Amino acid sequence: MAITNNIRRLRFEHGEMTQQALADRIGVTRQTVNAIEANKYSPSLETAFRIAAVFAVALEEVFQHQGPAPDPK
Amino acid sequence: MSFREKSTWITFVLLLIVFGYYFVSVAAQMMHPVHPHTNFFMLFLVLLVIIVVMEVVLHAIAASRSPNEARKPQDEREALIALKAKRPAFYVLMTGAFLSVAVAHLGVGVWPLINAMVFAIWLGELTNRGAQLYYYRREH
Repeated sequence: MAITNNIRRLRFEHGEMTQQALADRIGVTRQTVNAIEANKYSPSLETAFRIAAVFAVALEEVFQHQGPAPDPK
Repeated sequence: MSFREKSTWITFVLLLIVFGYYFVSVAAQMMHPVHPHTNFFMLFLVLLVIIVVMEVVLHAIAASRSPNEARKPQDEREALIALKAKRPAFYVLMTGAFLSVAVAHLGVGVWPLINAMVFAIWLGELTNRGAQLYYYRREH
């Protein structure tokens, strides 16, 4: 998948927050957080912003796109 | 395993066993009519009651183990999985519907036609639940 993330690191840096705690704060199941973290599921924009808000960082600090840059034309 | 995945497993296994028994009975009767007056309508109704009761009981047990999750609506990934599973189920159901029309043209009577339609619905629902389980496991 072209989208990667730093959720595991961010959880660790925020008092070793559990997947369940993050899931409860963004309104999804623990399994969904696990799937996002493992890059097996790309969340909606709304959920992505919620995750960034929980960690109080910019969206780019949580998610990165690894694919080729878009054509400027 | 999330509550929704447990719920999907419950429905899939119950459908497979309970209505699997019904269709095996119907097929056996069609091939070897030992008891020509078997009341399949009554059998169907009894199995329907059994499956409803089992669904309620097993879902209540699953909900009691994770009450918070059971109370919440499905999240975006679960909704997407449910949606993706509808596609293969639709094709199975449509194929079954057209085959049921073919059965109607064979002039075999009303009951075989009803069985063919219920069989198509059963296969479609099994495909739906089976595909959901596949996506749950693949994206776990």
